[in-house]
Amino acid sequence: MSTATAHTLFPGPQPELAPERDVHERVREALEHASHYLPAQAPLEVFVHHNTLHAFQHLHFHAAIREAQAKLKVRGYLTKETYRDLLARGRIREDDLEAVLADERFPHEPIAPGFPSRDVAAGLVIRHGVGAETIAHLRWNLVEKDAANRFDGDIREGPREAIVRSTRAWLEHEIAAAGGPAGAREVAAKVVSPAPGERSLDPLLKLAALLGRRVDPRDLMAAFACNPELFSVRALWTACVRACEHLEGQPCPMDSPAVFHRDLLLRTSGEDPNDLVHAHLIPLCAAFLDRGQSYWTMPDRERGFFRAWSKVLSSGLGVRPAWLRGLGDRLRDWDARKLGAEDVVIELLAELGIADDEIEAFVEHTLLQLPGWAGMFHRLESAPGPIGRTRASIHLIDYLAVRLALDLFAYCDIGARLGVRGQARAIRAACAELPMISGPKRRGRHDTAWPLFRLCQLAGVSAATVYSASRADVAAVLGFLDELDEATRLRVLHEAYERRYRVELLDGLAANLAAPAPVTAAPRYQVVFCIDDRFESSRRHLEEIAPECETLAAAGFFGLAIAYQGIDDPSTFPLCPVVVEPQHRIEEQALTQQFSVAELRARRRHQLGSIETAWGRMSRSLLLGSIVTAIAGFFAAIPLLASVFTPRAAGRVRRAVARWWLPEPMTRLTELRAGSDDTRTAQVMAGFTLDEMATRVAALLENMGIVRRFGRLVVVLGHDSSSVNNPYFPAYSCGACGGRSGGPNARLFARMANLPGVRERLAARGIVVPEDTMFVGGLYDTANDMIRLYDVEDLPPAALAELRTLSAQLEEMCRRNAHERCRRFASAPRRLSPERAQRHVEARAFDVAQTRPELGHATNAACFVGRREITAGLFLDRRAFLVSYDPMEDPKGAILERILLAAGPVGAGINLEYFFSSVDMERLGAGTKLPHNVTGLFGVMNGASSDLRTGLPKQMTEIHEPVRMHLVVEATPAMLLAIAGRQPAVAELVTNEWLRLCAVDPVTREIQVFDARHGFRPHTPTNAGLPRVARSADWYTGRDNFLPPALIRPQNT
Amino acid sequence: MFDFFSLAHMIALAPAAPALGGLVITLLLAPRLGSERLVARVAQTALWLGFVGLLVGLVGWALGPAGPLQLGFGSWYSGAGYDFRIDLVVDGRSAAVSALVSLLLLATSQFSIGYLHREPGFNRFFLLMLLFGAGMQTLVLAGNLELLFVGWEIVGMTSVLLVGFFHERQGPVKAATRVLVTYRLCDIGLLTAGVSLHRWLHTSDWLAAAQAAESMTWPATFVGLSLVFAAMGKSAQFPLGGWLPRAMEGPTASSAVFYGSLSVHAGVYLLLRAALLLEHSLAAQIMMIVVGAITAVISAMSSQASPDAKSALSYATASQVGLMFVEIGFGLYTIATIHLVAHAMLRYYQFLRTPSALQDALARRAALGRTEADEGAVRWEALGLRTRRYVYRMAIERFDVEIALDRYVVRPVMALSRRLDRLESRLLALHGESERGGRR
Repeated sequence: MSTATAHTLFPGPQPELAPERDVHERVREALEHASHYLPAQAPLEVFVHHNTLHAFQHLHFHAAIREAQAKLKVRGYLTKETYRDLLARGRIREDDLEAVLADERFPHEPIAPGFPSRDVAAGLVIRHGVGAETIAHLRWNLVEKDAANRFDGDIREGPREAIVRSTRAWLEHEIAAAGGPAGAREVAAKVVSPAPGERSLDPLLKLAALLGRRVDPRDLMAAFACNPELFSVRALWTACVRACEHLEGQPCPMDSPAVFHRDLLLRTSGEDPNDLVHAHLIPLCAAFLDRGQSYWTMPDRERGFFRAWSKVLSSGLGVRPAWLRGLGDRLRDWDARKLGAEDVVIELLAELGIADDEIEAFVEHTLLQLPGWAGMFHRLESAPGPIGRTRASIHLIDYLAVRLALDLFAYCDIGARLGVRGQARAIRAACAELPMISGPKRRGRHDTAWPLFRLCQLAGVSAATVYSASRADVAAVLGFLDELDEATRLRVLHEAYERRYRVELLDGLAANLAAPAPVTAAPRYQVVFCIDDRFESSRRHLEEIAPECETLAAAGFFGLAIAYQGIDDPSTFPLCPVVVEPQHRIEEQALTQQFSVAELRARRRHQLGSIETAWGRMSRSLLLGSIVTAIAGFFAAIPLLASVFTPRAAGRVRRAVARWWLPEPMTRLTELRAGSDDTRTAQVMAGFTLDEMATRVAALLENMGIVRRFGRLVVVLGHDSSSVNNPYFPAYSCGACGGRSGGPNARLFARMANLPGVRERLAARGIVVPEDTMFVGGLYDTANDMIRLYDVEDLPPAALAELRTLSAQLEEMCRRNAHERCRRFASAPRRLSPERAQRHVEARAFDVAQTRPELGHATNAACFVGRREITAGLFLDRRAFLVSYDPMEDPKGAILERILLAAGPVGAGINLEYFFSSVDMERLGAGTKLPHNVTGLFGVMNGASSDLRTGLPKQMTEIHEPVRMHLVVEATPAMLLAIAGRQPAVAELVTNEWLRLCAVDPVTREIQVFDARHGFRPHTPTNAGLPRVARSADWYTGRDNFLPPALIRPQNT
Repeated sequence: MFDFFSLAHMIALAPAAPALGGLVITLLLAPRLGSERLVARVAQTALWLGFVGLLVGLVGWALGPAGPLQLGFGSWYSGAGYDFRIDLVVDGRSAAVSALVSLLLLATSQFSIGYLHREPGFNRFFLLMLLFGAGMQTLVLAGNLELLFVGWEIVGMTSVLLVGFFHERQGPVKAATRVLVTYRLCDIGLLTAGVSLHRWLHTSDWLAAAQAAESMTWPATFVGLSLVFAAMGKSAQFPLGGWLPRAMEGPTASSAVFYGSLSVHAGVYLLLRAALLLEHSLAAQIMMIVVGAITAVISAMSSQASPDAKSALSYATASQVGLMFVEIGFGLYTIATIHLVAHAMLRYYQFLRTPSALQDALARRAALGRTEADEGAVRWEALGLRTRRYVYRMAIERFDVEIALDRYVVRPVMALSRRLDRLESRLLALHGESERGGRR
């Protein structure tokens, strides 16, 4: 890895091959290259889950983590302490580790004579975390834990005995060879040797001090006998230290040298130039990118950041900080020469002494100092997304120009204090001459003798072997240990950790397939949910309550990519996955007889909005503010106390007042476009024609595999999540709808499917929907577990009667679902009824103090694509996305291809974002929410000035288990491979193991697991007896941690 | 009457109960008994107890004879003609502010139980919050300057520790240091005021000092200026206000209660307490008006230009506090008191809701049917470009107050101290002392 890093930092000169490129070209390329490594997070408003390490997705998962570790200084696995704890708790089992090690295929040959074989040693090294430690850690072990004198606690009896035995034999031999008592001093010196810095004591005296008694030089064996353990361990340690002596002080292979100004200055002066730069840069970046937080916007934003910055800094009066002395002249100079940002960057690069072939590395290094901010510039420049652009003209090159200009002054300022006078290009050379506070890492006992010593102890190798090993042998062992560096050890442990989950999941699946739960063949109702993992439990509960009800799932935009404008929305917003550009506009309009209500609502909303806006401004203004605060302050006490002390009651009152003051008109959607108006001139067309509708309805029904059986009601539920005081609200909502509510899509789908014209066209395609089957759209709120159904008043009386029955069942489902969710909330009461559970989750959604209104996708780890039969009756603990798909209706795999193309990247995006946000909460995640500060309405900072925090906050990921998504598909391996062959987007995820693909044969029910190295391999269930309970609640009640799968089988079957 | 008088003594619970609660939590922490639920319950009980005690005490005061009530709780120590008396004083001002403090602390505690759930510093937060409550109530109810100073220091220390709540990161620790330095600097003012009161007026009781000051005006001026200086730091006034936005590094709840509402008003309260004394000093009054007015203008402008929710609110707070200084300078004490109480409650609520900034903005835009800028922004854009640039630079750089301070005060002082340090080590070398490690 280190060589790879060094390589990218110093790209070899290649002038003969490529003709001299223009330096402008180089800078542009460097910027393009560096921008890949910046976080791609969009503004908060359109938060969409994506693979945090997307820039590395072309690599294998583990290789990508290594690369990211080197480049971004992030962690890709849990910490070694966590894995050790998981091993101790049995979350990772011995057989998992063995299976993973077997796949690693370590050769069964000794590393060096007398040492264990590579496979055994690898097992020991990984299990016990043998490897380089920090110098401080080594000292702690030696001084506080007396590690050089006694066996470590994790050394088993066998190796202990072997070492003592072999040491005794060795000692006897040595004494004999040394010629009796005369050579005792030499032998003793092989057992104890002075520590560096210690005056060379007589080894015999030192030995005596250690043993706590006099040592008779004539009888070393007696000394050995009084404490064989101390003798043996100490001799081993001494042998290891001596064996590695020649390496001490060598440059460390893992070290990345400081190359650029910032690191060099930091290491020589202890002052971080970033401290100066960031305090100045961050507020200005925020002001420039602001989407409406400040009332006074930055002037000149339409001319780009560099211009705006330079204009602000050079206008009016002001004091410049000492380190920016001279900036004014530079700005005027640049302005006079009419230089653009790119010209300034080139000038600054030259001034800083960056050679042409370093530009790429330097630009990357510079932008990664504040990845969040640079990433936001890049994101808003390249893909502003549905929220559009502000007046600011945003370019990453502008940011780079400002950043480099500030860097230059900061470097010079600190350089001057170090005594570096003159030009900035001299800084690097000058720093290299100076002594460093923390110099480059050198090899020492901590990364040579210590790991060797630990390995020897674990493997039962004594001092005798180490002393007799040649230098090449020692080098071989150390090379082996270096090869098994921390990243490798963690990789193996992580694979074992994931394997435990996979084995439990697939064993559960196998047991379920062996004795499938009865699934209704002629459902009375069908309820379609989103594929979201949060509905795994909802579906399970609904089936428990109403076995006559079939549940299905499809991506939450239900195949309808629309630009939607509700009656309360100021503009349209795309309700579809972010990669899709919607082509149909749908509006919600009040019914004609309800116009007056709608008008009243709009008017009052406008009034309220004006009051609120004025109020917000006044409270921040000077004189009006004093009047407003003095009067309104007392009234603020009422909502304040109410919402803090009784959030649920306050929330309900607020909602009731809103309902009374802002009556909701009855509305309809503008779904139908006249069939004749088929011109595709406009970018976005109004509504759908009947043909378009029929195509979409048919596609969804085919995807889910319901083309023959229809219940009397088909309820389609989009979802949303209500919460307050939560800047991350879109992250809880429907990912398939761009972080918005999927309700309009569900409503639209139901309206379309009910149109007689659509039914006719469906019938023509062979999908005959019975006349009395009605579709109903609805919205499921995943935070407070409530369902709202749309357009119920349009239903015929018969369907209404049916709906009354189903509604009651859905309500019961919500209550039970809330009950199951409460088991994972540490702050929910322990024993509560489903009714109270629902009140609890409702209060959470209203509570301003609640940082976890719900847990979102946390704990997600699997995705099932197939018929409900394979998962029905299996308790999956809300950890699995479920996608309805019927392989029997899809012999060619065309439907599956469509599904995988959507579900694969989306599911992996969600899963991987949770994965990386939870393994590195500070750098890949957003850290704890508590100090977060909403900035410019597009991001959050910690406090008043920090890098923009990207990823998910700790409150969303703390209970997550970082496990890659296990995509279990009901299809043959051959078909899956064929699809992967056709779809590079799927193939990349599968073959690079960003998700783990498993296949369930539709006919034979055989389960196979895909592995990049071995291809598909059958999974043999190890555990026959799965727990069997009558209801989900019987399985989870009273347990608040992860639960393995269980079979849910009603008593009467 | 005797009954009411003893009833009024219950008011001592207001500072005592949180202090006791803090002690209990400390004791629980030692044997690692402090579970989240237990700590929360202790805190709630202590704060409710303090609140009830305060209400009972206030009833006693209200039903007793009209006018301020001085309650003696003995003496801490005495000697050499000096007596450190523990006196609480109840009058309209302290009653109103004390009730406000109690109420907001209760709300904070309730809020934080949910907000800090599962946070590693949960216990620490509640301990600091209770101590802060005790300090704040002591400060408010103190009958003399010494007791107020005790409360003042507790408030200062707990504030600093809460700014640095996330001490594993660098930013919060740096911010906390900044707050600490500002606070300590301004403590000089309070300390000087206390000493001079004793030196020249031979008392530190608020009521007695005011009477004594009538005969001698120049001590009143000196004491007054010292007190104003002390208040300037605590209340983030010009030119010492730079710490306020930096203090937002702690959890939202503590930002709300400390820098949004209570701590930042402590300076104002100090001036209100010393109002009768300050009336005798024109210089102090002018200083309050000037400092307050400058702060009000600078901060209001900065608030308009602030691109993040918490900074915008903290500048708005500083600006209103500046106006309170002006009000006190003009002798409008009742108005200032009302302003203080109302403002504290409003800012508290606004701070708690800062995470809603995005949701609120979206809702407002939807209601108004707008997609981007609002009217205010339009009015701002209508200004000439040059004016806008000029005003904007002033606003976003906060009139360069901090930069100037850093450049003309901090750096020279640091340079001087470095020079003195070098001189010292050279002198020591002359004496044959070896240099300690770490110096060049």
